[in-house]
Amino acid sequence: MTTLRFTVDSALLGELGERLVEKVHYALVELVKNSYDADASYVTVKFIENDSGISEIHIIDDGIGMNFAEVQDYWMHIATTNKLNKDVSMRYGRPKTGSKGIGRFCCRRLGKKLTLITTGRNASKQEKTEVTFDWNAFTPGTKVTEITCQGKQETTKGDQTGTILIISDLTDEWTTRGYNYLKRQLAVLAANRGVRRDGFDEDPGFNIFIDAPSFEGEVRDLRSDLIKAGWGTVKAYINKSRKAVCELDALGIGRKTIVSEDKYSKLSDINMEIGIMILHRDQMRDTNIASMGTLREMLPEWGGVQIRYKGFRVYPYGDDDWLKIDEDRAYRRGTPNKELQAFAETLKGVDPGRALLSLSSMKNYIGNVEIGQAAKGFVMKANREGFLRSDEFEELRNFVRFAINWATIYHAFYIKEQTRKEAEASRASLQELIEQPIESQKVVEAAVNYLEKEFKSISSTLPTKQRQTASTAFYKATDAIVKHDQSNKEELKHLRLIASTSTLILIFSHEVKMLLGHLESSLLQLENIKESLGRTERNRIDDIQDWLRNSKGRLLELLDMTALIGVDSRKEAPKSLALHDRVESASKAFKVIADSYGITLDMNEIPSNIVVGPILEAELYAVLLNLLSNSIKSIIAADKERRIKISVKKSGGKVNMKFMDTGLGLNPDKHGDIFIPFIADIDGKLYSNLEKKLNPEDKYIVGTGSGLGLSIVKEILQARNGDIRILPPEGDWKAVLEVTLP
Amino acid sequence: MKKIKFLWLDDESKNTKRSVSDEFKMKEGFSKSSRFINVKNENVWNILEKDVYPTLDKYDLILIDHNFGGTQDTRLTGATVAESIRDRIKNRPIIAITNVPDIDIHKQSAYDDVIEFTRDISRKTDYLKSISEGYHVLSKKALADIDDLLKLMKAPKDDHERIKKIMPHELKSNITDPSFAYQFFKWSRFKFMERPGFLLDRLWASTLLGIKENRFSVVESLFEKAKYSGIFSKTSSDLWWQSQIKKLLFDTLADQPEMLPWRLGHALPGLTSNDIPLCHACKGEFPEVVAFTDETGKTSRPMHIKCTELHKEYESSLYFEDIRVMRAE
Repeated sequence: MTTLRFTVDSALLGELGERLVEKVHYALVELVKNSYDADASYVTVKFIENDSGISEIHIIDDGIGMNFAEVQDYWMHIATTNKLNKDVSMRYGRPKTGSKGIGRFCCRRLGKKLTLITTGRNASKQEKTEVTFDWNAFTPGTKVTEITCQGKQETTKGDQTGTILIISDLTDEWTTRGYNYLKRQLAVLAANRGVRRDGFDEDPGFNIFIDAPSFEGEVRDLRSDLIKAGWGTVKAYINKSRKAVCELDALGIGRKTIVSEDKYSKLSDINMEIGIMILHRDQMRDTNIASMGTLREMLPEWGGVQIRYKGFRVYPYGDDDWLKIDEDRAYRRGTPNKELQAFAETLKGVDPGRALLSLSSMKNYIGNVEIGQAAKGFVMKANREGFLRSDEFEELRNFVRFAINWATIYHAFYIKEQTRKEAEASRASLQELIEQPIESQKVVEAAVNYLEKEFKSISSTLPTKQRQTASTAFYKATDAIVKHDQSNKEELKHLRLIASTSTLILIFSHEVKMLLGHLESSLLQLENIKESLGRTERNRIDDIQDWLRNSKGRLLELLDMTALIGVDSRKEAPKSLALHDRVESASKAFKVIADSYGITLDMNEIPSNIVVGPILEAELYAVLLNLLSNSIKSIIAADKERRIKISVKKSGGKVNMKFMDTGLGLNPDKHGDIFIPFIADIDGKLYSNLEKKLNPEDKYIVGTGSGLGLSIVKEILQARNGDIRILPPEGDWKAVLEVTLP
Repeated sequence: MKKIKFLWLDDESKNTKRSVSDEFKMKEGFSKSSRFINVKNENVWNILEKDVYPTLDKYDLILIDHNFGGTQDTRLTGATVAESIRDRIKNRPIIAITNVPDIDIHKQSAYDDVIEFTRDISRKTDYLKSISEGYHVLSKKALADIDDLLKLMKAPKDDHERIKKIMPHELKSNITDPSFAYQFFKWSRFKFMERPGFLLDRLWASTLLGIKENRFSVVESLFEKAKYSGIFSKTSSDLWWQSQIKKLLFDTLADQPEMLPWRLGHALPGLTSNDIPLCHACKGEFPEVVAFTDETGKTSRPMHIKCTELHKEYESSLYFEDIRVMRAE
């Protein structure tokens, strides 16, 4: 029996180095990943230059290095399974990043010569190994195992381990594009600012320094560059007056400074630097380092504001939401403190009461707060997990949030400005095209006119039939654009009005609540006074108290309805709702006016067990209040019989609700127009008659008619798989509307 | 019990609560030496250290605003202050009085209860007295075991074993714990008295008896002995022991063959068949239960069991009534 063996041709090294690693910058990234996987706390990449350009690349780290046996058994053993066996690094438990076993052959891809100098532990000794590889010797036709490499080995003193790779006789030219790729890839590794993993030593983080004179001119600290690459960097410290001094350097904002009015009397020797990383390509200052890809990869793991106390990281700050940023986002707390509200008011387009709604997630803030030697009042817990609760710590949180909130307000301003500038730029470019000034309100109109002119000149070259077809299509399309634009402008105008009114309603609700507080106080006063009075006077006081409590009850019901307006529809889930109860509540809102005009509401044909939905309670009330309000207005304007009837039936899985009234009625020819926005008085009779019949003090109850009510009702219903339509009047009724509810 | 002395911490700017506090002091049962401390624009922690912590044991009741946005620390809430006070004194009730009652459940747990100021503070004097008295009794009376507690609750003997079964182990095994009063109040007020079962409110009691709610007053005196008068009784609206209502009903109408209480009640003196309630859903007579009209749980009405279904958001609980909701047509 004869034994046969495989041999390996040196050409394989070329295959591995050049085919697997297509570009030189990919190769260099792999070598830095090897340093990371070797638990280095830093790596320096040096591009050494001579007169003809980059001549050598040095990669120097302080990782665990290799002893002589490891160099021989692993480093010089092609496609070793060493990395496959261990998913995490030995000392710090870092998830390994390098590709399996090919990193070393990237050296061959980078240059024709490599000197490997590595120092690692061998039991209690420290071994330094130096080997030089001349890849030119590994020519096709030779066997890998037969080529020798010169090396030396020595035992050294001290405990400093690490690896130096010196690559010379470089194979390829480096480009700026390749260099930037390198920085972006390494930024993810540089984002590791230290972490603890169970069963391992504490990871101090990974610093990357790049010394590349031809590209940068000076040594770059990649982490520092990364922090500066996002939308903005905010630095802050406490000055001698114990006030916060914050400096923001941000895209579209430039450099800004603020000194707080509030004092942080318990803080001293505090500094912070935080990068604000927004996941938006247009909101990065240096896309050579930050990209959507790197940020997406980096932020979930490494985002957060860490605290360093006298140079050491304090856990768990940075891994948790100690600044309550995500908490504020979850609760949609958009209002900054008074000082920052006043500041927000100075920035055009920023809504001071909602200026913090654009706060990013805690992971989008990356940086450190340094508590120095002179700081007092910070005491670590016995388990070393954070500081004991103290006024100082609370102040620290407030100080950092002040800086972040201030920057957030600028960010809100930046967004507004960008949108405005983009609109302005498109207007300017159109102006240039048509060589005429355009008012900002007439951009669409001007664009359409320009298109029309161009179209005419182009279409004149077409045969008649084609010209006619194209003209019809063109004018229909442009007409739709113009009409839609006009309608949007009108709607926007009214929505602005409504939006401002809703704020007023909330202010009004707040004031009414205050009044109710006084009312409660007065009721108690009356209660106390009553005790000292005779029977007759006590009865009178009882009557007054009853009256006050009834009025208060009505006000509270209305307040509950206004509270529904403020409901965050994303949080509030649509529910199944008992229809009878809601009609009853909605009718109470009009009780005073219905009583004073003798209007009766018949609800006897609303079965108690009809449940509609899922629908938001606020939406159902919007439908009911609008329809009741319309019927009441119409009845008063008609000034005849004064009846409203609501009947409800269930059929085919849907609920049909009929609203019938004895008002003015609806002109059958105009039924189609009634749900069109801004048509408030289709026959022109309603408001002129109302003017005559309505007591002036009641006008506010029925509204002035924006013409939006029924269109909003229709939109709400359709969005919930329902609808509304007008039916021909039946019996004595003048108007019949049928609402279909889910 | 001696007059109740309260301490009220608030950051108000319009003196409405101070005025209510003054009226409380005038009321019978409250001490005139109660205090209202306005912490507006103040450092609350300094005030607590200097003025509140050292005197805590002099007060029977602590009232705190929930929102302390008007103090130097605008992010501070009453819940944090309540925790720090309870850390120092366990056997005093701490009540939040707020204009904005929408407080997350974690923060709510710092208080014994939350009262909405604008809605009903003027009607809460009996409530505040009852909770203070209850705490006082629990702090003065050394309870040896659960039987002592049942005596304080004035529970009918028929219910003793069942109450023992449903009372949480943490309560039964911690009767001597310093924070027992707080734990017991929470369970008693928000479970035992809140969920119909052992105790029934006016609507449930009248429905059980087969009487319209507004006619229950005609026969209310017959059921005086069934009314709950145990510890913390005035912290809720009137409640009746279900077992005692049934006992008194059957004792009063011993000669009637009917065994279902909701078919029997209208035979009580002063009532007629016109006083029988109707099911809110189907309008038929003799509804057996009280149920919500929809899943929002805002309105309750008498209904037949067959016209309802279990509310999917509530769990069933031994010896307590199921929470039901009207079955949609």
